[in-house]
Amino acid sequence: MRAQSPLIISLPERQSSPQHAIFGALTLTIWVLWVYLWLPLITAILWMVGIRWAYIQIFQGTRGVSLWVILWILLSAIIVVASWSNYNNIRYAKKTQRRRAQAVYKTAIREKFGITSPTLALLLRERRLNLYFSDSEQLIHVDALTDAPFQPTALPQLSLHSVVME
Amino acid sequence: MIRSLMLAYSFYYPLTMSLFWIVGGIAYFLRWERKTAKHTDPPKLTRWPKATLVVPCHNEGSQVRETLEYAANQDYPDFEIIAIDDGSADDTGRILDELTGVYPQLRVLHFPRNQGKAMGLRMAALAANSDFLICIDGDALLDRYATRWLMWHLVTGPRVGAVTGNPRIRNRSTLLGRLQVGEFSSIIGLIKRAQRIYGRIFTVSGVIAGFRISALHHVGYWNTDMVTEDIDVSWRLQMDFWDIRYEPNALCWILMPETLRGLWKQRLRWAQGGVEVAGRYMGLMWKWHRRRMWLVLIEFSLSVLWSYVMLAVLLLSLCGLVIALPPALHMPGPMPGWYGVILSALCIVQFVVSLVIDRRYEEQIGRQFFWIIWYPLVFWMIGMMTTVVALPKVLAKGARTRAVWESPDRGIQ
Repeated sequence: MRAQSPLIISLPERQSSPQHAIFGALTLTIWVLWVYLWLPLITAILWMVGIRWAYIQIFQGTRGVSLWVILWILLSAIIVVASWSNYNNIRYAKKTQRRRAQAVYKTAIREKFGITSPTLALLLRERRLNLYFSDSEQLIHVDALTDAPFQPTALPQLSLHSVVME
Repeated sequence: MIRSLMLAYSFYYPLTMSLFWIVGGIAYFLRWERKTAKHTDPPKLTRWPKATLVVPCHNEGSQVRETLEYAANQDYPDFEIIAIDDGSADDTGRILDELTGVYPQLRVLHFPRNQGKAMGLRMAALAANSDFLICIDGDALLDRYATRWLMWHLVTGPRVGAVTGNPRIRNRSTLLGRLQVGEFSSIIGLIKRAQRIYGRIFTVSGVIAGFRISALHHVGYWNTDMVTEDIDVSWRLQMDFWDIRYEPNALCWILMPETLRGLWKQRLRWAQGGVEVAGRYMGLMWKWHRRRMWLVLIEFSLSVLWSYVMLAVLLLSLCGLVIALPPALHMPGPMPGWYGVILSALCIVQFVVSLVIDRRYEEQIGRQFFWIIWYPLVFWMIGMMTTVVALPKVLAKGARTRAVWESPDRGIQ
């Protein structure tokens, strides 16, 4: 493609957005009017290629499907989504209903899981732990692993770091 | 009359939902996504509180080194990693122990017996030295910036109880793998965006989600008796008025099934999980202050109903080919007519919209869309069949049955 002459000034991006949109829309309208003048010829050609028949099939629905219904669903989806989204934005965007998410203290978490303070300290501090559970899903025993390699089938070994649940 | 209703429902339900997903996806893109920076440039915060990355593992010996390498490489100033070896029969426990010598921020909880993912997450919440959990699966590779994106929501939004990330499929060797790339992008991604515009999300992705521990504490953490703990905790958080957000920039690379058997098992579990959660909380939902969850429940119930209606339409159509059915039950033959044209056109529109939105996160994603043409046939059928099977399975399941791990199909590697 040949480069445009440097003498030509073409900087459409320097127009404002509304200016750009208005001129574009007006030009498109004039094109539509221009096509309108050709309507008799277009009608004759479409009649010859059977477009009328296709229009009846699609828009009036011989098997219950009408494109109008689908267009209505699409329009409804756009209206519902856009208005709901804007409503939420206006109502909630700058409001904080939970002013501060309250922190939960570790003691409350400990109580929820039914464990003792030393066990919690072990869980928070140690890097490798074995955890044992009762059949009722209660944590019953925690074992801190030190240098001994992990044995998946090993029974709990009580060590200095072990805590038996009460 | 019934015949007309069945035909109309089987056609208009997916069509209407698809239109809402497309419009919702575009609205989300215009409102939030297009204004955000690239995913490698997450928003800045004035404070970066400590985060705990949680990696529950069950027989992940072949994956877990890579998973932890990516987890440890997070671009986040202060974090620890808690890996849970949940009764693995392979060498997962040994590898995790070994890796504590490599990654100083790694801590390991061993469960000598398989307790299930929910129990692993509960214990991680108990052992965490932070107020926030970033949970990933044992075979998932967390993008370097994912923690920053998730934490940004949790730190800046006091109402935010959880944030779900954007899972991306790694294994694309087979047709099923490639199909799921398109599915996660064009269906799951669009649904999450549309649900976010609505204000309530059906579920966080269990494979990548961030949680506020105080929110979990209010709702009682993860339940151990649900088939899908992620759907369950999502509903309970939202019923307790916590927000769940979707962050498409929080990427996580995952492995998905590449056999029909593996896919069936996974989808059946998902369908079963949805039915189970809807059934359990249906009674608690009908209060005015929980009205925002009504549409989530109604939409899910309509999808279950659609599966049964669609199956009936298909069976009656097939029967009509071999035996003479009464006019009230006679369904049109296999030639779809204008129904087919409209549905196929809508499919393409949905794929193109999601492709345009999704290319921000993955270059050359368009190549995968060649294979997406199988999607309607394969996944609608699997979705329909799994839902049809899931409902009686949930009804037959005993109350409070413990959910434990089963190793999934992870495709060709």
